[in-house]
Amino acid sequence: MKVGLVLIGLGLLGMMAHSVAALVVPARFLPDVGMILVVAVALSVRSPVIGVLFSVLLGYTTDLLSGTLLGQHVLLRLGAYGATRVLSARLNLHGPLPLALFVLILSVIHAGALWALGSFFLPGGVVAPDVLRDLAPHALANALLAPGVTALVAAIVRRLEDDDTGRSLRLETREISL
Amino acid sequence: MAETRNRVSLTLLVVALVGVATVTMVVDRRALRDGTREVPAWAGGLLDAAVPVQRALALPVDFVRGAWSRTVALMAVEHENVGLRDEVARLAEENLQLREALVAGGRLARIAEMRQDFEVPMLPAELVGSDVSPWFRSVLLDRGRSDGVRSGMPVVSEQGLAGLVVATSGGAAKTMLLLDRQTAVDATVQRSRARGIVRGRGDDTLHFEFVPRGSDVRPGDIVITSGLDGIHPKGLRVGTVTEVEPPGSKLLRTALVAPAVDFGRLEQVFVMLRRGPTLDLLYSTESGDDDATRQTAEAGP
Repeated sequence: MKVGLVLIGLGLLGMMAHSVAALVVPARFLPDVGMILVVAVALSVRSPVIGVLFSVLLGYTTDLLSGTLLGQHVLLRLGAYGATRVLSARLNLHGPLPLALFVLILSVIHAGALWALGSFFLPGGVVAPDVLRDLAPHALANALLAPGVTALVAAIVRRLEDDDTGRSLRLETREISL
Repeated sequence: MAETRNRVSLTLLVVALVGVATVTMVVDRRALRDGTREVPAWAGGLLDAAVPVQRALALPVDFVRGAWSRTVALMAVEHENVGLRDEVARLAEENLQLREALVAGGRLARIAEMRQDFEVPMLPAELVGSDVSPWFRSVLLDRGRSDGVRSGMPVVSEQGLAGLVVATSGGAAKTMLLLDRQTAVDATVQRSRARGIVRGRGDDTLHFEFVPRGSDVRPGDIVITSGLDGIHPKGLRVGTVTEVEPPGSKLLRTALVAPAVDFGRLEQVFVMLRRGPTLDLLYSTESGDDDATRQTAEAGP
């Protein structure tokens, strides 16, 4: 519970910082903080319920802070979470290089999925083929940032879980001494 | 057994969330099409909470940006001042002569009355965030429904048309910039009155589309809003034509337009507190909404 709340707080703060940074830096050079956080949570948090709820909340926040339809990024974040969980059960995605490669591919799929959803729900689509030139720096920025963010999220989760384990151990010791 | 139950519960949760997200998308799409898009109350709270946080996060960014622009601006300010003084003197003289002519014709009082109809109250607003997706071009403003801002209100800067409010919460407004692919504005060339539609391309340029083959459009022409889309008022500066596609065998031509507004430096904008006739017609079914808008418009910013 504590882990979930802390991660949601950090996630929302990260999204807002991303929105402010986009005022100065062109968005194509900025990483997709929401997607990277979802991948990091999928790799670091054991509870799938926390992961799913985290993905949904971050998806809605992304939709609120962007020009997409409300719900569009929720589907994409859930997809990214599911893909990371499924793939991490079969492959080791914890190393920086495999993770960066995975996020690079995921960014391309993400843009494709956004285009597909846009074409279906908005007449004429939104992501046109000529934006592919924006995809390269964006995907690269995602791949570069993902290992660092994942390590940070893993450290936070470890710290919070250690605190919880320590507290329960202390409680158990007190019960025994009584 | 417990593991299977957990797995089934999780699957049901995911299916339910996907269903909710899809329904939200459909509802939002319908609202966007009908021009009645408002941020739902539960999401509005999140958006309202984001504004002060983002304003605080933007402080260091604003400081650095402000310091830089001040330094650059100081270098050119003296030269600019001399030019502006001359310009002010010339315009003051011209103004005086025009007033004299109007008074002589007895039309000044009538023009003053007309101004009441034409002048739209403007609400200054600040940009507190930009689009987090590289495929869309929208910004978040720090004014919302409580300030009288409604979906469909045009947003301008001192340079020209910047965009349109597409969703509002109590204290924030999401504005789709002119550069976004979803934006379309009925526009006209100021010199030749050639008409077309200006569309965003997702980058820093605009397309002036559906211009009839025989129309007179040249690089350097100024493009302004025609007011015929019923959303944007007539005469707002949109941009300058930079390139015209050769007509070839097509019936319609396309031109490339550089936007009048420097979107890279956009910090403050003005929300025009009056919607165009088309959107007012759409909103007229909403109870109380129009009255609130009219009251705010009449009261002024």
